[in-house]
Amino acid sequence: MTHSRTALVLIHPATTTRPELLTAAKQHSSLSGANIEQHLVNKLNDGSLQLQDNSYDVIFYVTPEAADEILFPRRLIGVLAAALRAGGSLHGLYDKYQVDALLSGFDIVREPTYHWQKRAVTASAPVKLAPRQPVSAAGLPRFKRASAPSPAAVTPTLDEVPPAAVDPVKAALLDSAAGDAPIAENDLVVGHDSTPITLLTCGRTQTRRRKACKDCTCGLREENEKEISDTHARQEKLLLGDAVKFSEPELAEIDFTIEGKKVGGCGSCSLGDAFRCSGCPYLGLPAFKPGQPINLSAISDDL
Amino acid sequence: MAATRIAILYGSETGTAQDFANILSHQLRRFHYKHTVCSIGEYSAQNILACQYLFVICSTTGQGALPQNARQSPQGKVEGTLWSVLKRSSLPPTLLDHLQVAFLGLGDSSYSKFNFAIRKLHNRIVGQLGAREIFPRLEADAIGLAGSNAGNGNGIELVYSEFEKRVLSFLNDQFPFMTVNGEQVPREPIATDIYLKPEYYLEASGNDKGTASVPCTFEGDSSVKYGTVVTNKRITATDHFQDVRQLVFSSQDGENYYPGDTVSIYPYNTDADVQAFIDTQQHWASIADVPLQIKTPTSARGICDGGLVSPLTLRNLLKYHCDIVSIPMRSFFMKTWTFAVDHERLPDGKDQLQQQRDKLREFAESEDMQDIYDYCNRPRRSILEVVQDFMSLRLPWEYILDYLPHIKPRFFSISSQPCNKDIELTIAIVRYKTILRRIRRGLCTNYISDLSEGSIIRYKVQYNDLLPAGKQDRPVIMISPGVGLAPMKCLIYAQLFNPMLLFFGNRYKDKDFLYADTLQKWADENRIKLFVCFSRSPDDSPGLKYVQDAVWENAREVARLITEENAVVYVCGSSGKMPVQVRLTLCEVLKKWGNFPDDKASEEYLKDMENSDRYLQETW
Repeated sequence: MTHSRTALVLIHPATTTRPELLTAAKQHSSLSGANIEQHLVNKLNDGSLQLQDNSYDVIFYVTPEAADEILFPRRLIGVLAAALRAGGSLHGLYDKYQVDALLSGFDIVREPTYHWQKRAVTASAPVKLAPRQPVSAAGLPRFKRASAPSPAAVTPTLDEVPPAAVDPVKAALLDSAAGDAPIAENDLVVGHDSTPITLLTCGRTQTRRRKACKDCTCGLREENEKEISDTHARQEKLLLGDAVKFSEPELAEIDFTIEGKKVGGCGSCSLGDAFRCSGCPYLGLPAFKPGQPINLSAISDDL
Repeated sequence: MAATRIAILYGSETGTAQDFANILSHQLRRFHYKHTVCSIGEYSAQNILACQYLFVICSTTGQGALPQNARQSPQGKVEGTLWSVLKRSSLPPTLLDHLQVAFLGLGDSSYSKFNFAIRKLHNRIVGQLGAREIFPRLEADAIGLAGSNAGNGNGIELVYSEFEKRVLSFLNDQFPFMTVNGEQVPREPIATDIYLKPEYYLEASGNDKGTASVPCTFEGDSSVKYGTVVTNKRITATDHFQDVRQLVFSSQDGENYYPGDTVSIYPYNTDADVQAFIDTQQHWASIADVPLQIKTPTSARGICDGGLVSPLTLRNLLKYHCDIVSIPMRSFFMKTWTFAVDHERLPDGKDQLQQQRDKLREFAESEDMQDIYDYCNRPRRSILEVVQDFMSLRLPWEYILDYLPHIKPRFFSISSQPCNKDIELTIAIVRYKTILRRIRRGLCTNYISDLSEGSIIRYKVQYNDLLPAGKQDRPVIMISPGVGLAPMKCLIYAQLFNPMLLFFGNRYKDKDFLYADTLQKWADENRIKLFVCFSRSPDDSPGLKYVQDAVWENAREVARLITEENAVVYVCGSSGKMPVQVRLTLCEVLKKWGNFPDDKASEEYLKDMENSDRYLQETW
């Protein structure tokens, strides 16, 4: 079997903040002399990168996360197994995923350095690899649980490219002009400015509502004001009730958790304005929390 | 400041251009681009020769000039600043041929000098000094009638979005790879759910002295001054919808101000709003009053305008520095959506968490800004109210100075007699209704409405040099409805001009005729010629509704003063149609009575007046 060794290095995006990890990985003995391909793991996860089966001798996953805190898309472990040649090794994933490793046809090697090795496939006992799932573009790569206590805050590494070399002639000209009289600034804008500007095209949205000018006369302002007063009237009706007059203390404590009053058909009314439909009767009121009364005096000061 | 290949420069009067520059800088960091971001006045002129990619975001002041922080260094010097250097007349047309540049102008087309600052920069840098423009500049219009967003209903934020998109796509096309630790790797942005650690942030100082009863002081800005309120009086009728205040404060040690000069006031939040914000972040309660320090404070210069509060606690920072009652810009959602992680306070737990997280991310990243507009801008919803709606947001206190906008001072024209130790301002209190039940108030005017005699305010005076020597001893025509009267009052006191004509408009004679007694007295003494009109009580000014009607009625005299006596025209008041109508009226006046052969000639004459600062406009 004579082929040049091929290695794949997959990089977690946050590695850009710790580039030394990547350097260290590349100096690893198993990569010496190999042709190295490197990709961000997102590309594999979102389907924009497809790996050929049986085409790598080594795969390295580089991430700044600690070994027992690594968050790796489980389904990709089968994909990596398929991409490795028999006997190929995967570095950078640890015991946290050993069940997935074993299911996907890896053996766990602990000495001298921890890695996973793809079992040799024999004709008599084919190992069933985890099915290679179709990679969907939907579902963004997630390397953290959404419920993690706090997302990572990282200081970005910056490109090292230096500034341009200063043309000494220009520097000298700039200096020698120090005693100049300034040009007349207003001459820069005399007459009609005929240089082109970039125009925005509209049409990003079909339903854009125009904003009324400061001293609107076309009726839009009245329309907006009517909408505001209608909304307020609707809120009052909801909060105060129409048929029943509430007494002052009752008024201050209307419970939106009362069945039938809490949500409309869409189920989004209680969630706050960001989720309400445009005609929702609760527009303009805060999000409701169960058991928590809406206190009129707490949400308005114009009554 | 070291030279960098990429620079973002801004010229900002009210802070919007600076906000946009900071967002662009944030995006460049996400793509690993090393760059400089600072005001045009702060940028070292020599560094332009080492810069290859320049992005300029600049607004325009009333008279078509660059904003102060573009014209001057932070120390107030003009000499040696980038703009003064670039204006040197003998520079060769190839000086900037190493530079690629893109411009975004922020303007308001109710001013005749709409986006003049960005045009000046463009014409000098590209037209005369040879820089190459990456794409034709963008000119945003606050009222959406001109420039890049003319008539398509898009606001300036969307114009900025377009600019950002073009800048990023240009750079990423140029530089698909980057060099990190000597190695070339593909350029990939840091995922948007990873928070970019800001250059400065808060940490506990380890000093656990109690801070509750320590009075606040402000450090690091020696130019801020302290005034003592003498009068804060409502000068409109109590049954009038608008509350206008005469605010008089005693200056710290006298100020040599003249007509057209302004005062900036540093407002702060109410204790109730600050507490409400802390209540949304339960994990802040225990740290709210603990002394903190700013890590790498040298990069925190920007928050020191007006002085940094001491003792430095979360509560004091929220009160004096973070604009929690402002309407969130998209950058707020860009920076915070990833902190929607807490399902414990949500009625529907984890499902609702995902729903909130998705919605916040949509606000942050969606191309279509309709949803964010409907949710935030239209009802004028504050950041505080957004955070109250999204209980899943568990915000890290360490970075509040990064993801919360900073309180900026507000500017007011001085209406008192020049150089009087007691400075008088005339201020309309901002209050209005939206679909939200709580009345909307302006941060600063709400702060002002609560001031009482003896209250201490922080302020600075801006010397605008609006009426330099050589323009005086001739007539002035002042046209100023409503609170636009403020600088006129100062001008009348100054007695620089003769005669002085004041065209003053209000809604009702008996409700909001500001300073009626004073003005009437001056008219009786022939100190001014007063022309008044009332738009909502027609019997008090028959046939005259608006100031332009009064100008038209006196067309002959106005034309004579302008063409024969070289009068100065000064227009001040609310922006919108008023300044446009006034200008049109003056054009007609000149045409009819100014002996101009045709329309074009009178229009040219008006333009000349503007260019020679004989036609001044201050509208907001």
